[in-house]
Amino acid sequence: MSAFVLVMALVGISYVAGLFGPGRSIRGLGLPSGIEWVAVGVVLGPGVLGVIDHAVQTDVEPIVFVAVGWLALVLGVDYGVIRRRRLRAGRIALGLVAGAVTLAAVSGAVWLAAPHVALFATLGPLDRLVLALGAGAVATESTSNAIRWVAERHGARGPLSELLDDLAEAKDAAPILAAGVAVCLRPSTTLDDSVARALPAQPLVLFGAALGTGLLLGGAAAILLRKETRGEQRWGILVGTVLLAVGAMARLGLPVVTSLFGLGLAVGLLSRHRDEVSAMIDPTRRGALLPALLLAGARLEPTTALSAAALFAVALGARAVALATVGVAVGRGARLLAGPAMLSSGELSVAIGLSLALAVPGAIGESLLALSVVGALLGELVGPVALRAALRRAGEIGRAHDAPSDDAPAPDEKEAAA
Amino acid sequence: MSGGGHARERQTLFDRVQQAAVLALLFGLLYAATRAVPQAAGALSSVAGIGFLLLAGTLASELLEPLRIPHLTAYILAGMLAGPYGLHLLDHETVTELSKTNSLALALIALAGGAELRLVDLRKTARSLAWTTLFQSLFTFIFTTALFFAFTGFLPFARDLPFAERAAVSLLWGVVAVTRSPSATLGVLAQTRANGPVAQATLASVMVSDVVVLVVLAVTLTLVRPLIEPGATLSMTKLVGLGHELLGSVSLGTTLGLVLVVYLRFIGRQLVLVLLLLGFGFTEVLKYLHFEPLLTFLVAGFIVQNLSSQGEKFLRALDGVGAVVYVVFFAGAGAHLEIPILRQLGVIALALCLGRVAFAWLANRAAARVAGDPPVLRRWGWVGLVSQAGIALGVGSVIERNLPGYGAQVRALVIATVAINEMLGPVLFKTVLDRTGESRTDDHA
Repeated sequence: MSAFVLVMALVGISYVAGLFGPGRSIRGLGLPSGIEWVAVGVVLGPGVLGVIDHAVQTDVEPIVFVAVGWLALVLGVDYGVIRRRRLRAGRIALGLVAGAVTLAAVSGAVWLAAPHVALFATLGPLDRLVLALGAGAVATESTSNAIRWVAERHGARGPLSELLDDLAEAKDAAPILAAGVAVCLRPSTTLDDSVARALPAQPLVLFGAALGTGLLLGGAAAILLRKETRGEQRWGILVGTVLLAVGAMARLGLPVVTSLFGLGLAVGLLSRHRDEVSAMIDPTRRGALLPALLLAGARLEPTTALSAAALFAVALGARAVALATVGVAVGRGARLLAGPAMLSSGELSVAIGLSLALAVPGAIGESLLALSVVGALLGELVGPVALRAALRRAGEIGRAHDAPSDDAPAPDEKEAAA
Repeated sequence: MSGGGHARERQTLFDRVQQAAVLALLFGLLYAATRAVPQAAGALSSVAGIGFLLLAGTLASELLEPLRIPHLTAYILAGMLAGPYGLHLLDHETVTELSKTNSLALALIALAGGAELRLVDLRKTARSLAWTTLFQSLFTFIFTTALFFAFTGFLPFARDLPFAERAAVSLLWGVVAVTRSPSATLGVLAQTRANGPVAQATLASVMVSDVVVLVVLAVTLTLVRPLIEPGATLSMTKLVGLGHELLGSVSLGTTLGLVLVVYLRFIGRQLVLVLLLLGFGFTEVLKYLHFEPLLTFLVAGFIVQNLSSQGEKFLRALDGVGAVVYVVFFAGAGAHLEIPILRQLGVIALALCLGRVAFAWLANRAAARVAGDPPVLRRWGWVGLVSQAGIALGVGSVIERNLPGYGAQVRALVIATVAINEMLGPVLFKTVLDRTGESRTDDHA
């Protein structure tokens, strides 16, 4: 398959995703993490059908960067806001702490375990740190999609479902920042000698540059959006800013996800049209996500994944323990189940995994992408079940909702019918 | 195209200062990125390039608006400044990569052009359109050919050519002169939301000229072949091919138009992605089939507007996507302008441009008199026909392929004249639309 045909096919996938609407996945079409598209990618990838071979993957890398960057922008604009409800500072802080705990646990476990896994036994301290931080970054997310999916399907409402939703939302910043640090530890592009000599503490400066550029461009976009009421011009400003940031970051070998998250964050915080901007870009989320998931599947290297299986077990075990700890600490009415209820991961993890695979080529990047997919897959199996149980334990799911049929109307449809 | 008809808040001096600061920031950012990593990262640098041109073009158009400069001219200027001959923020490779977006822009332009042609209006102006097309094509072709022939003595590459070959090159130059710019016309019309006799007549005339150019080019190439290649005989192959191309394009355009009507009527969502698929994917299919994309999309747009009630909805969708795509298209064209060639051939190119403008004016006077056009058309009907862009460059490339040895130099001259007309034409057209009161935005008031 040529890169051009693949791009057209990806546009077609985005079309189908958009046609079935952003809310449909919550109501039954597709899994909350969208992991089934990774499976499609695996089948189309070089390991099975070979439709998307390595050469094509290289050709479409810019699209991957743009898709991942766009997702990060959407997450940034909506950070701290759930359906127009702004999270309290305390909730955001709690979410960040939960994220930091998970990140630290996974990173620490991977750091300790890496020398004992043959694939990583010879890694130097810097690469080991990149691997550990990267693993933490891809294993920290708790996708709020899964929580809303369960909540909507079962009509759950109450303090626990709201708390879990808030934590999942607020946690996102931690893995995004960690992924940024991991990429800056080993930037993939060689800086011009004169520039490299002028930078003393390179990783720190590079990380600051990536996040700062995102924030600066986000501020600029907010200024331009301030007086702009024309929809098409708003699109122009957003698309232009995102492409410039993605292109510049990719050229410099800096973390696209972190920079674009900063960009979205600045737009969300500084623009008085945040709600309109969010309403504009939110429907595009799934359209950008599905092609990224498919390409992530195609990039998976089964051999590397099998060699790193032991490390994955350690990382995901650490994640489960960390989330269980968080659950015990904050889970109202379902302390033991709240942790496993947060095990679902998805779009952010895979997006970070994909961007790390692009930024850190070789076994480390391939393993991190595979870890993100395995984590999402396990989360898909355990997360919704545990979440249902936790919400039932907390009394937020009534018995009438226990066994919904697929053709039962979603809550908002019922409201509309009423 | 930006500057749509929606209301927006008035810009204050503080806003302009902020916009200038953001523009400076963008230039600074790209400058820093290109200096920190001098080696361009292939297609990734074009991602940054598209983003930069989109923002810089939009900001430049806002900043230059008080001077009443058309937005598309501002986009071109922004591209020139950032391009390989300006600050070199975008290198040649990036600019070439950017031209991949042209097929999308041209598809949107042709679809919008077709959809703007309403049968009701065309019926009213059919007589005027027919005379204008005939006179503009014939006068411009004949007189520009003669003018170029007179100039061949001053052109280094043509000076020593035999008489027959000089005549052949001059005839081909005549074809270049007949080309107009649908993109520039639609760009100015979209910004000004102009509606009136000059706007309507210009749009119809420019769109019809697309088809005329195809015919004139094929006929001329057939005629000049024996003059360029000793021993070559007159062959009708090109004309037969042209017949297939035109007929196929119209048929496929009609089918596409009907499919779009059904889609708009029964689904009507995700139009942005549908237009992307058409602009990139369907254009490739058309090229593979050796059909003319511009004509196909033009017919499709025309069908949607005139055979259904979906025309306005379709135009709104095209406006929305076009607002983003046209900025990149024109700014990319600005970055592509080869300033050194303009410097080298500027005087002759300017003389040829002025001659073309004079012949367009003359043809307009004659056509308006015969057709009995209203005074406003008699006076200003020629102004919208000055702009030249992509089609002229395309004809230039065909000429380059067909002329042995000195084709590249002829093409360089084409590029120089297009550069002048691309800058001059939109400014003239917008000024006239403002002056005749056909513009409907408030920036000309």
